Amino acid sequence: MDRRDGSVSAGGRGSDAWRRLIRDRAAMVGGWCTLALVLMALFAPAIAPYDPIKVNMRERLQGPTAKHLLGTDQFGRDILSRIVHGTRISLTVGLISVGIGLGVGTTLGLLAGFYRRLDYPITALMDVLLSFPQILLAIAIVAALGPGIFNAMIAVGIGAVPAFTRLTRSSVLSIREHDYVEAARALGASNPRIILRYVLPNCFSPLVILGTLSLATAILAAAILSFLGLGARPPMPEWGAMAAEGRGFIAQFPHIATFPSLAIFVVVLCFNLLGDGLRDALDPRLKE
Amino acid sequence: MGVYVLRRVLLTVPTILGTSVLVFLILHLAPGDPAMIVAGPTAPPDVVANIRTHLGLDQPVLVQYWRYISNALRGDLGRSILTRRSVSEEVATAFLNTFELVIAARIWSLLVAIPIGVVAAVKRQSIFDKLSMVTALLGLSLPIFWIGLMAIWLFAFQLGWFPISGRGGPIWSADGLRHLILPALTLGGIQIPALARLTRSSVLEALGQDYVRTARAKGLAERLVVAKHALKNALLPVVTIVGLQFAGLLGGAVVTETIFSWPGLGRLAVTAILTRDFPVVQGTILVAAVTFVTINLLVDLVYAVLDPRIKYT
Repeated sequence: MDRRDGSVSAGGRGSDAWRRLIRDRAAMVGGWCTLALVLMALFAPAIAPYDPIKVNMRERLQGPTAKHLLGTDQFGRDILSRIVHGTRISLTVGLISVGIGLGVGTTLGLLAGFYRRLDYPITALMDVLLSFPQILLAIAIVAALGPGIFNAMIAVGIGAVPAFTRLTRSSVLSIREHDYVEAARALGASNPRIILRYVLPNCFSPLVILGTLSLATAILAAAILSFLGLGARPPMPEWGAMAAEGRGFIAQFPHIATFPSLAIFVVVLCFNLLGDGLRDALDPRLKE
Repeated sequence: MGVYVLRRVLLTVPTILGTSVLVFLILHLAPGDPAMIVAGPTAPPDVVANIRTHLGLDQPVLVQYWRYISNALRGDLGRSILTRRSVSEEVATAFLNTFELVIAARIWSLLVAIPIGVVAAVKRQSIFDKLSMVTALLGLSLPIFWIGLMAIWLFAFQLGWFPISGRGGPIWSADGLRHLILPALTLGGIQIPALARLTRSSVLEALGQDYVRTARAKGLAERLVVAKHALKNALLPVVTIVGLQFAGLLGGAVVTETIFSWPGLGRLAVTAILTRDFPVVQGTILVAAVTFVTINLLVDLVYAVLDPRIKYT
């Protein structure tokens, strides 16, 4: 972007942020783990030693062995293979939910911040959405749409909208007062042009930070919905649903519920570390 | 102050109304005909039509909403499709159970998190600080259902200290308490990391203020500086988060109650969704949301009392 207009420039601030990010060890751990997870999701069929949904009753309820590194479940399915395939589901769920939250939330936030007439109705709607604890809102939406992984994504995505709307709105409110916006308007730029070219790029860093942290929340929320029986259904190798299936065997075979739960833990931790690192790198003022 | 309180209370009314509209609309725009669900899949069309008239489903949506909300204001949330019991009664019983669980969880999480946060801040960069904050970061990423399942595995199956699930006797009885402990440990446990981290950063900020330096400069013992000057101011944001975390507690209660078969609002809602018992779904979600809005209101008011600088603008 052109520096003369006073808005964010790709050079200076960006490379500073990048330098801060790669010096942050925790963020780098999160980043590399995320990369590993993405690769695992992409090449799941090649990595997983067995078919994730193939029932093999002769080998059911085994603890970790050389043949089944993470053991088998009550249907003799290889837990490692299910977890590897589950990476695809969890990352997809996270990306789609956050995509919905980001897309809808940012649009509403831009409109609310930029057009005074729309501010009150949008803010009021967000206040109503925020009056539901997020998981409860997701549950309400699943109640309406019916259980299932796709509806769970929509539900979690809608639950994420208010945070993005609020963030964008408050960024817009401060950005619109800047001289470069005034200047663009004086030069005859239309509102949509001002929003897309000047306002939106300047909301970029807080949105990236919130987006990354929301991935963690979204994956966790979707896993919870599946655990409750409101998201993915068996035999889909979704981690929350796998933990729910292991619930009945918790007394003697705690590994069935534990390994998928640990997988959720690792993914959520990665995105939390990466999100924290991005926040410190892109907006050092927020650092404690 | 009086004006602030009044305005803040009045502002809650549209939010609650909006919430009720949303809950009503979500379930009314949902695919599937409630009359068919009540009648069952094999019911003849005229029976379904009768039920539809009886439930008022043939009226315009606005009329239906008006009827719903005016009944709700009188405490009538309709009847469960499944049990035919009054939804208000089912919700009230469940509400009390959730309330007990949430309060117990809240108390124990505060008892653990605040001391950890304060000590971590006062002994900044010490082993304790680093260890507790790393643990907190790890804890933030743990799925709550796993904590619950592990609590059951360890304390119920391996050690046999507590029952696996259920409500037991009333809360004041030994049996009731024994049943409460594991769910409360789980639900409170999941809140500790965030609370400890927040307490730590809040105390750190307070310790950096001028008045703390002044207190130190006049020779006050460090313990008194922390307790009398820093803590008092540091706890203000903690109060907010304690209130806001009720969202997390209510959400977590859904999972905790499901794992431990605790007969609260969350379990009622999930069971009702899975059995498509719409009046119960509507009632539980509405009550939960209104409770949440009310708690937020109380938090704001407490905040205004604690910090006289706050004025409504």
